[in-house]
Amino acid sequence: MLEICELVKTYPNGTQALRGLSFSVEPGEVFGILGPNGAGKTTLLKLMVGVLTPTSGWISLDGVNPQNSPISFRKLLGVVHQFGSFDLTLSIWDNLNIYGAFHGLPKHETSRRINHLLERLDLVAKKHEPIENLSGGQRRKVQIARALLHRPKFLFLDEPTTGVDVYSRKQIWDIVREEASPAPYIIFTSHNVDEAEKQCDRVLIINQGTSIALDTPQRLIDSIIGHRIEIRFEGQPADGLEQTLEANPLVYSAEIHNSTLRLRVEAPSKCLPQILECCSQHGIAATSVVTRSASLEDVLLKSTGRELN
Amino acid sequence: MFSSEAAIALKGVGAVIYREMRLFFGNKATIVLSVMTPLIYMLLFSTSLSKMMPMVNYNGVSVSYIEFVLPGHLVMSVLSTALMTSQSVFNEKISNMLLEILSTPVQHKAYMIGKMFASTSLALIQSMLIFLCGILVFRVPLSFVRFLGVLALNTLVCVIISGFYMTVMGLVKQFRTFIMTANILTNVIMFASSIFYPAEQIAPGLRLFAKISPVTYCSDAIRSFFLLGNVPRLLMLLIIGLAVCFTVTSVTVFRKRFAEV
Repeated sequence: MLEICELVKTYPNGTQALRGLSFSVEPGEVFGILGPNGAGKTTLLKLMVGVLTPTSGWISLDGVNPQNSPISFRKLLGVVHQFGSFDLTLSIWDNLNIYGAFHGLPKHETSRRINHLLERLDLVAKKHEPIENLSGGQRRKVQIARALLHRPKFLFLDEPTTGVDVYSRKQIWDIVREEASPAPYIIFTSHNVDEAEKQCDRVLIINQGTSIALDTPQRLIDSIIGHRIEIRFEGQPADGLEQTLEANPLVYSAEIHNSTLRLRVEAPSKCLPQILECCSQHGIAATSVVTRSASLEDVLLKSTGRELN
Repeated sequence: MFSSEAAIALKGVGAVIYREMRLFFGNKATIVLSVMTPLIYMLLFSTSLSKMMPMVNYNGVSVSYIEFVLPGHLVMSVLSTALMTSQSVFNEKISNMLLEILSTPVQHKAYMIGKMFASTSLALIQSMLIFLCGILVFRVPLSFVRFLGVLALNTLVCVIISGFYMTVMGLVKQFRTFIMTANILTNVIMFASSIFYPAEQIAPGLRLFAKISPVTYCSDAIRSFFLLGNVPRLLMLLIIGLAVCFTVTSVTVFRKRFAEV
């Protein structure tokens, strides 16, 4: 199990990047970490892979601690960093081969795994191509292959599909799930909320170094936001419309922008007739009504109070 | 018996050396420049300065300037290789390559020792080419035993000078500052030492610096074995001590400087 307990990270310049985070990840779980820029996601990931040292608190991967047994700890990890780096003048094969050596893999095993992964990622024809000749998406795929080379038990992915097309994104996720060790722990950060909603078993939302929410994407959506209704209208609403609507126990919030009434509600089918009735009583007539389920993006916007970049 | 962590650490050193070799031999321009630079220096210095100083008195033995300066060229090639290696650490920090490497089981100590070994290996290859040029072009007499002895000493010198530059690199925060510091240091230690001329001809103002510069002792030790067939015991102990000291210092400084990447 991956366990994080009361993790605090304060940089030498006094910036408090993390302020006491605690959570655990179960085997086989895809665990997403979401938050706006500067929320502490990359710091958290760097602490989890042991390249930063916590100011206080601890991290444990299957009982192994990065400070006490750094080598055993890193043997368990496969990492895709946000700004992945390569030896650009060397070929894909050489880059991966060197990583096999870093992980102490036998040569024949390294060759077998490289061939297998490159085949799955459609990169076999380019295996002797220098990295500098590859596109951004192809480099991302090589990064994924590099992280999976030794079949890690814990896979840490920082923005793994940035700059990757839709087809490759699906290909990457399939490979990530199949090519790590059996029941791998997959921990990833992303700005792509749709992807997180689709791929994650659970999501942790952090903001300013603290945990805002932690649950399955669906439960987060259900518990925090509910559904969204947008009503375009004609006429001038009488005073107190928003307040009257918010008095309805099924309505979380109501806001008027120009000629649009935006509501966050629970059970839209139940409350929509009451809302339309209330609108009519306040002197406006609906010209269109759009109802949509809330998404994880709504959860983020609501819980962090700012746009996700 | 090694513990499994120690065995992995050793493998890490091997992997870092392997990577450095792949990077070096994978780039033709680097190979040509690394081979040509010491040879060009050797030809320039040996032809120009040997006319001004045809014979040199070294510890009571009269030798040609080319024989005198050949060990100096070995030290000079070590200086440039060590400088290049320490710059590469900075580059790897800036390009995030260091972060990638330190996210694997390769640890700070293994990375640093691997880099120093790789630098030493490249400098030894250059040394052999310098010897070859000395023997074939300038007809410098050299016995096999002295050749092996000088190579062994040169290995220690590589460790000292690589360790020296790595320590400087670990103490400087900005890449630009490091480049400027290293360039000034390289020029000063090159000319305030007995690389190109006998110690007694060093300008008086630079003598104190020559006394504290490890490069002075490195070139003295290699030259002594190359020309006389032995190294004074005290000097030998000093060379071994410096090698140990700079290895420990560079690893310690590096670990502290890059504890977090």
